Amino acid sequence: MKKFKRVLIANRGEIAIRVAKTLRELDIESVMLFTDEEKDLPHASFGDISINLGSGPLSDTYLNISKLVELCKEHKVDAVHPGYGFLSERAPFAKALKEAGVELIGPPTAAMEAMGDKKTSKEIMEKAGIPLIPGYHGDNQESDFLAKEAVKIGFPILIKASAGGGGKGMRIVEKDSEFQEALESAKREAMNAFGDDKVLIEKYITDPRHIEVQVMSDTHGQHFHFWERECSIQRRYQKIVEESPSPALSQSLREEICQTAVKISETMNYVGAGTVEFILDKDGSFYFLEMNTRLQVEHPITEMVTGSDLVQLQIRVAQGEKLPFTQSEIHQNGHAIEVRIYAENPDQDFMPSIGTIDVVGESRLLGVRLDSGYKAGNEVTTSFDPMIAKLIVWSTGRTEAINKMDKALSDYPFLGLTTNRDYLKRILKHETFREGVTFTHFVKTYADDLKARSLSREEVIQAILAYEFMGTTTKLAENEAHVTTAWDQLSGFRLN
Amino acid sequence: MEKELLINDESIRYTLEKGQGDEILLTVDGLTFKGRLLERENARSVIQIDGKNIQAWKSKNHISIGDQSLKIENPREQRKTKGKKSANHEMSSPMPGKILKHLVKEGDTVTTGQGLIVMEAMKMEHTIKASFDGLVTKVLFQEGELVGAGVDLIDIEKSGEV
Repeated sequence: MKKFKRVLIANRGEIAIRVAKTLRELDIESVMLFTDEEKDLPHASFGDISINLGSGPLSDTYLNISKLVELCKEHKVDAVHPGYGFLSERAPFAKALKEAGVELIGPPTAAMEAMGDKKTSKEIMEKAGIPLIPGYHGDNQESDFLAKEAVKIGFPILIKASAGGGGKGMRIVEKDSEFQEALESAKREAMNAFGDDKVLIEKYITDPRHIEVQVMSDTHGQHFHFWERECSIQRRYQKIVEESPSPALSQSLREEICQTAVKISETMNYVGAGTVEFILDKDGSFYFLEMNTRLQVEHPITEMVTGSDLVQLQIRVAQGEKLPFTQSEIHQNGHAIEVRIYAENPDQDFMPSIGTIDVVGESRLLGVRLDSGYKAGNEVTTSFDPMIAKLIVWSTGRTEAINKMDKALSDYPFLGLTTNRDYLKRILKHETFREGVTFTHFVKTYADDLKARSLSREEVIQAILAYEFMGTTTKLAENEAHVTTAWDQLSGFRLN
Repeated sequence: MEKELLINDESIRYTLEKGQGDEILLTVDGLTFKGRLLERENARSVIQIDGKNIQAWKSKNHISIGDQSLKIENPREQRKTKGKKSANHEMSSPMPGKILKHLVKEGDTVTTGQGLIVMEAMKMEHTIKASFDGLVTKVLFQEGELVGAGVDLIDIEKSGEV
């Protein structure tokens, strides 16, 4: 059995730091990458070895396969952890590492390739008897033909980029007359994002929930699940609030969905961590959506409820270890919630925002986990994803966890630029969310309720006093000298 | 002393007086509140207001209290730096990107929330929406043009304004 001594993390920000934390715990050296622009970001200096990738477009830095492979050789790296995004699901990267004799902490290339293409993955699932949403996944991309297929499936339908992910190149079409414009727009966005404008169309489920199952398999043919996560709260088809367990599942439905995910792992001869995503309809039927062959952004909530470290398990599997537990030993305990803090403006269509983070914050609760890629003083630019941090809490039950997250967000204001923090708090306070009625269109359906509300008199009073007490200087550095507070002014006023 | 602050762009007038001990008396709309600073640590403070403790965070122009992050400015300082900002800055590009499509043309009447321009930033399409009712007097960029952050994209004459 192998034992890694040094691992390169082919990623940045919060996920690079999160992986490095486990490496540190396992006494494995971490090699961290950063670009010129990121010199001041925490991940740049977090590991044991820091490598500057220089500057330029992503294709010259984090996505430059040959450069990363060279760095692995130069620094005598045993394995690479790809994180999520970037090269995590790129088969050519996996192959290049293999040729260089470097282990990828990820699935076999075949599984990555099969699941990377939505069409191929659905064909495999169909053969294995896994339920799929009715749709057209063929090669004919003529708009008239696709329009006819859409009518055949029955509106509403969903247009999706074949090579897609993250909601890019995705459109819901409610009726025939809107189809052509939506198709054009989806193709345009798909071409820009993936360099491929091929799309597929599917029946659109009116009140869907997004349920996904965390799976983990070793090289000894053992396939486990770590229960489900519900990620129905999304904007622009990207998740912003995730929880485990799902409030929508009965124990029998939960078992059924999780067993289906394990069956998929078995079918794929899967190895490592993966996530099987399903759409759950109101009537309890569920359909396979896709399998992500990597660690997921929202993996921490699974770690919280199952008491595990998924990155540690990934590493042990990559070292060839046989996982020393059985399925019945993996329990779901209590309730965990994650929210994603984005630099964006929810009141302007969630448009990404830029600026300097002046204040991050500090928790006043038990065991709150902040996975952040930024610290106070850092600049958020357009060069990278607008997600700046994830906040994760665990409590005994769902209501307790919601309340805890609401309070935790009060402790992490991320001041200085526009973020979705206040918006997340409004979701957590929404009665329908608290009742567990969480469909993927939640954010749209309750858009009016979720709008910024005006300040109460109480809040105005608090704001004025905070402003007056905390002074009017611009710098808030630790050793600042010239703060004028209300107290000074008033004292001065009296003296005069 | 009489003071003024702009909180989320809205003018608030108030007076401050010294109270008992280290207390400050804040009067807004004829109502007076007692405030006291209990703790101050960099950007964070704990303030007692009428006997109840409140945690507040402050950066240069922003404050966070409870559920709200808000913009707070001294109007005297703000007047010094303003002037170049347009009145309809909500309809400017929030970040660098490309103009993909015009949804309206000059001479069109638009209503609040109506889509005006589709732009692409960070590989995603965003629709710039009208933040008030009015008449489109000028579309400032062609489709396909690249724009920087904070640039006005469209001129709209507010309805009812002459």
